[in-house]
Amino acid sequence: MVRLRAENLRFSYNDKLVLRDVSFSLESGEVLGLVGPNGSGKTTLIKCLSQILKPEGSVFLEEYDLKKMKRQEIAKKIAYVPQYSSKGSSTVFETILMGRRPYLTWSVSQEDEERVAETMTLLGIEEFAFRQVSELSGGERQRVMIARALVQETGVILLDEPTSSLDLHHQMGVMSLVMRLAEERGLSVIVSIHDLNLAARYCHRLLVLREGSVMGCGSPVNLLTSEMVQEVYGIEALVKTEAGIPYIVPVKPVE
Amino acid sequence: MDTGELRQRYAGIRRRRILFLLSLVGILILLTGISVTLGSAGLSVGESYLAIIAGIFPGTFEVSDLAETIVWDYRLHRVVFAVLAGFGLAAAGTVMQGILRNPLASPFTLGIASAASCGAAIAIVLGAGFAGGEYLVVGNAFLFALLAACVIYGMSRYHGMSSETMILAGIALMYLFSAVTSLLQYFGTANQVQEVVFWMFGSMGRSSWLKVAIVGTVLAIAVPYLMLRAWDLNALAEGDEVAASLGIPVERSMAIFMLIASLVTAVVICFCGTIGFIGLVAPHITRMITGGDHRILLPASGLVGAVLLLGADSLARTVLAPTVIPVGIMTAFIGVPFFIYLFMRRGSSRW
Repeated sequence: MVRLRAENLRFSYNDKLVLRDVSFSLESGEVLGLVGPNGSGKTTLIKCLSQILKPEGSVFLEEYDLKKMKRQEIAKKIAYVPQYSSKGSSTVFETILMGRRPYLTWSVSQEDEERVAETMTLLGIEEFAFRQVSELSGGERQRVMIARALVQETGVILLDEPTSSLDLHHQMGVMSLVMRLAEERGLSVIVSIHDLNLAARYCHRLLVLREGSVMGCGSPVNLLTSEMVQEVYGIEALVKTEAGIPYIVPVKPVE
Repeated sequence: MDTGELRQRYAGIRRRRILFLLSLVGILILLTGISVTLGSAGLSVGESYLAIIAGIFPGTFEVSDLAETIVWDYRLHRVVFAVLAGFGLAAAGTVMQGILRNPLASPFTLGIASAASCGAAIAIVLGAGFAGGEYLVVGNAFLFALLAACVIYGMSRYHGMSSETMILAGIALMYLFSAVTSLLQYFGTANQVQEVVFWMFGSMGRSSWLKVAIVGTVLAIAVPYLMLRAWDLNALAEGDEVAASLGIPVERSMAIFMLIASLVTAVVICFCGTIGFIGLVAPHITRMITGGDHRILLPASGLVGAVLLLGADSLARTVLAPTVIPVGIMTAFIGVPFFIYLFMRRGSSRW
């Protein structure tokens, strides 16, 4: 089932065109990896999809046009985890509770608290529930931000480079969690990611961007070829396959 | 830890915060009694409380006319004004720090206080202003403070609303207004210069029941509104983009919150002069104790501000009695060392 459909998204900062007619669709239960070099428009695309930026073109969510929805309604459908999280003075528990904002009245209901507590247990972060977010390590903080997106109870989650500041262990931890959530709960996830090997391992499909244009969209096996890598990243690379998953061996930059 | 245990611990934290809030109210009541007693008339603490209660509920207690006159006509409005002013400045500072996510944000660093001084200086030295007569200085201070807030907001909006732009614009404005004030002092007569300088010190000496009523009315509207939108303040403190993705109309909310914070600041400092320290420090001290949930942070911070300002004013009236030191100087003397001590002890990793 198609959950999210983007049609001819265009966006420019001042006069610089950053997204050029981007179209794609996202199924439920699917992890879509957004890959491409720096400045290719990944972050902008994610912000356009969550309507933080207002692009030309349309985003349809289960056939509803997002342009016609109120912020509060969108917040119940699409959650967003930014690349850089704030280091606020709140505890982990309260930071995650913020994800309930679209549903909250002034006081916090028992249900809200239970959702937060369950989600913390699910992600294994309950032992630092009452520490300050600013005291956490990068990997811990990333899980807190994902937990906040989860208690928002949306069908779609957008993650902007969730692995960029993590070590290998935590990178795999976060990505396998994302994949598990998609497959077990039918969540649709879009995740921008730099590491092609990690993307190939944990994403069902990849969308390749370069200079704001879609260069290709499909399964990692079909999409990742040495021609594609050379065209998009300007490097010579070998693409091998192990256990059905492609991986990249970079050779040298193309002059 | 299971779900029930997590919820229990959260309930415990909330109970402790409410206890903190109640103890602040207790301290404030105590301080009010002590502060009303201070002075040359030799009233006891008991007499002062009785006079206060007798004034609110006529016929409950027998108090001497002297005690009632001293308490109600001379002292209590000053105390109540200090409480309201401290609450207002601290609440405004909390909102500014929250939505700008910057520990430096305060009515002072955003140029609002120095704009008010500049407006007052124009009124005192040039005699020019928007309102006439008795309210010339007050009117000018108020309007210049709001003008500064609008300029900062306009500039940062034009540049795309980053909090750094806002602070930078505020600091730039602060220098500009200070320069204008200095220029006016340079050309002013000795009397005018003295009046400007005295205005800028900040003092509770100009309070009256009318001023208490005006500030009280503004706070009675602003504070409940801010409390009602405490969750939006919480979300904005997490970042514009996160707030937007949680369903908050970011730009409109920022504009409303900035406007309210500026209005509260302006209405306070136009009556008592610039007291910069409270709006910066009370929110920091409170945040260290209560954490960042504005549902508790906002009222607690206001109460801390009220306690600080009333305490400072009481000290200012006693240390060199009968000379009264301007409270703006006193707040810095007692507050700054305390503030630095807190930061040395706790570390500045969070604000």
